[in-house]
Amino acid sequence: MPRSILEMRAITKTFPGVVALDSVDLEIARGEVHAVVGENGAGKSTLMKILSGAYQRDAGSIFLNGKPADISMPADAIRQGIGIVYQDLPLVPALTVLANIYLGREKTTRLGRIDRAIHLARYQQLCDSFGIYLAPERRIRDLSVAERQLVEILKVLDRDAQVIVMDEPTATLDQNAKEALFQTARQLQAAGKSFIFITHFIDEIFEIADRVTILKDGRRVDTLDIDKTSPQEVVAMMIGHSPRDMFPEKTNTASGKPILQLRGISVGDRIRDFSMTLHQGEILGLTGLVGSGCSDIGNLIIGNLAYDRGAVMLDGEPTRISSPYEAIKRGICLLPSDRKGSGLLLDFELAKNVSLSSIDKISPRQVIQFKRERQIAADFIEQLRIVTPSARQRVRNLSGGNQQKVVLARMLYTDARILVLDEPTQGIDVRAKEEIFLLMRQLTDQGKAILFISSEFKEIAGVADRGIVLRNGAITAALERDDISEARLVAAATML
Amino acid sequence: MAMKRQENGQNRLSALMKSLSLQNMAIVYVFLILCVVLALSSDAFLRPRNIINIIRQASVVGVLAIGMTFLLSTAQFDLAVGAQAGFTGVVILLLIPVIGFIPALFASLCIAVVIGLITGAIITKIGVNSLVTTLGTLSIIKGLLLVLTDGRILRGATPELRWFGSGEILSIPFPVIAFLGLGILGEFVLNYTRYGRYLLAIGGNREASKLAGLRVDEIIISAFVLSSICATIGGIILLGRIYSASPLGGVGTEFIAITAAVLGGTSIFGGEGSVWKTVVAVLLLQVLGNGFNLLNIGANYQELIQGFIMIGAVALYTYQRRRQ
Repeated sequence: MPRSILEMRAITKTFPGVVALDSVDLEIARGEVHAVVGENGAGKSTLMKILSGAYQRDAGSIFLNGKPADISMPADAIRQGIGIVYQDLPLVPALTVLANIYLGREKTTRLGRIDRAIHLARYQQLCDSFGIYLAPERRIRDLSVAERQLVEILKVLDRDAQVIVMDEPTATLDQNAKEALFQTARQLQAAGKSFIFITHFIDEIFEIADRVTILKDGRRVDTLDIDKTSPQEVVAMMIGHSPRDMFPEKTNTASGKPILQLRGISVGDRIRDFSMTLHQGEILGLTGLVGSGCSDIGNLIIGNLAYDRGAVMLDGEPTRISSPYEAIKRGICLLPSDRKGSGLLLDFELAKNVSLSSIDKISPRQVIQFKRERQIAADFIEQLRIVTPSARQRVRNLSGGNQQKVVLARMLYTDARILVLDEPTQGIDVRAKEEIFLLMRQLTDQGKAILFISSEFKEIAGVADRGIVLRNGAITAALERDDISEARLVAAATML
Repeated sequence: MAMKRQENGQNRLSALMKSLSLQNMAIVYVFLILCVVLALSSDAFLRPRNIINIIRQASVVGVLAIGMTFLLSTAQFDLAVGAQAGFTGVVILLLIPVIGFIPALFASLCIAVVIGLITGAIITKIGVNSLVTTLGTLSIIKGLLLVLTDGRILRGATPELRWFGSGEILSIPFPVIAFLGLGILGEFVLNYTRYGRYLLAIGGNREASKLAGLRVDEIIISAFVLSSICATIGGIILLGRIYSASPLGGVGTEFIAITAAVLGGTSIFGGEGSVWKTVVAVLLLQVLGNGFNLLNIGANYQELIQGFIMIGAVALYTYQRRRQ
């Protein structure tokens, strides 16, 4: 019997304009927990989508049990023993554990009734053989996240998965649930099952993994035995040596006066005791892994999320902003991370998107002055170098970078003093990123204050004057101008 | 400079071509073709009396459809407007003996505002969707009609009331003036004012509109109030035309109003709306019935054909959108 259960060799995948994976190797031994780490865009998800049959590889080969495997759609992967436990846990909330596990594969009696006895027997056997216990009659909606994860694991085990892929399994778990998950993984490992853990949490892989593969920019940096490496080494490999030249020079020497202060803000258990001070003329970076609560901070600043405790001060005065409408009146504007879902009116003309927040400026006595509206849009098209055939183009037809500039133009047209930018560079090309960074710096030089939220540590390190790191809703580091570096940000976000 | 002007001219020309394209103007072309066919096959069709008649007959549904266009622009709708039109008649006839003519009219408009506020508030502040909410209000209003009339037809329209149905200004009947006047006003408000822009923006993307600083809930509620007022105006015209109020009056017209607004190109997903094309669509549906009479096909076929046209138009629209 071959030592490795799964081998992916020289996997290459390109998307228009991007090489997502460049000849990546991954080898998983029987009974191994293998961690795959890397920054956003390193290629982790793409590699797993190829393994699951969701994407087709351009080149390379996959071997299962030493034999070439043909995986061209998800059903192939399941049949050949690849079990994927998805992050969003696609289960039917109203059905029981048992019904979910056998959904779509029900055994029926001759009269067409679902044969519950057979299911139950199989379920008991499954649980017994792996030492797992979960009551089969409980409904999914009554289960905790950790228990739902267990259902997903049982589901793939029932289909005889040999390799179980878990994408960010611990991101939404608390400490106890995490321990329980690791315990389950160890039991299954002892029974000969292998795991691939995709994760951002570097400290965790030292608890559970046997080996770790580090990806960066679509290439495999290395595969290491956990015993022979350290968290510091893994982080260093993840970051590599990034070119610095895409970031504008930080010109801000002395901070201006405090303009927006948050003191001891709590939102349920999502945000715990959060404080920050944003000064005039600075870019304050706020970073953390996806789900760490950074977006919540942006939303609560503009009144789109209510907080239970704490105080917000604007220009030193206690204030309570309870809607985006009020926020804009007070000069605070948000660029939402979901550009298409909550940033733009995709089927509206560019000009109408720009004027949306300040239509009163172009509609004295209610009637809209269309000519002026288009003139203002034309000015922003020139100023922000938006590439578009005209101010009347529907924004749906613009590229991601240009769409983002349209949202920025709308914010600037409100004359906001405080700009909250949530993932402003998501899904846009490098050139557009550079332009947006440059624009951010120009704006702070004009005295505006920017809260720059990003899960791209490199960008926060390169652009922000100061940085705050969140993990699970709590601040783990506040870095001043001279301390801010990618390595420190990554360390604070991923290690306890 | 000269080149820029030329470019500008070309832009304008292409914008004009686009706005006249089949996709944008299908309903108008269908209407015109139908009119030409009817004019050729029947001498009666183009007579001013016939045309005025068609518009007058369309006026009640038309006023409701104009209100519905405002709602659909924000991606909402109201199934209760037809019943509300009938309800208006009953309320006015019951109130006139008690408080007099003008106060009764005023009271019916106040009731409209209250109904709109409540419906809108349930939908925005509590978050029940508009299908369920307005099915409920439809049932409530129908129930109120039966309770208030005890199932009987109420008569006793005063001469002042009849004026709303058949009174004329410069020999144009009041219903025609109200319908076309509201159409022009509605088109202006929806596509040329700040308020109209807000409605369309909310229909296009409610979350984005909220984050852009629009008072989304309040604006949606106001659209329900406007639609409710339109329903009441429609109800006043209806009362003035048939002199009586029956417990079933107006019920069912909401579907023709929605059909017309959708045919006019107002997206059921919100974000796009045109009042004048809604007016054309209302007239198209009316002419269809009128044409059936003139051609002796029988009006029984009207709803049948209407259904096919509705599905055809929406299917075409959805298909084009998906292809983009």
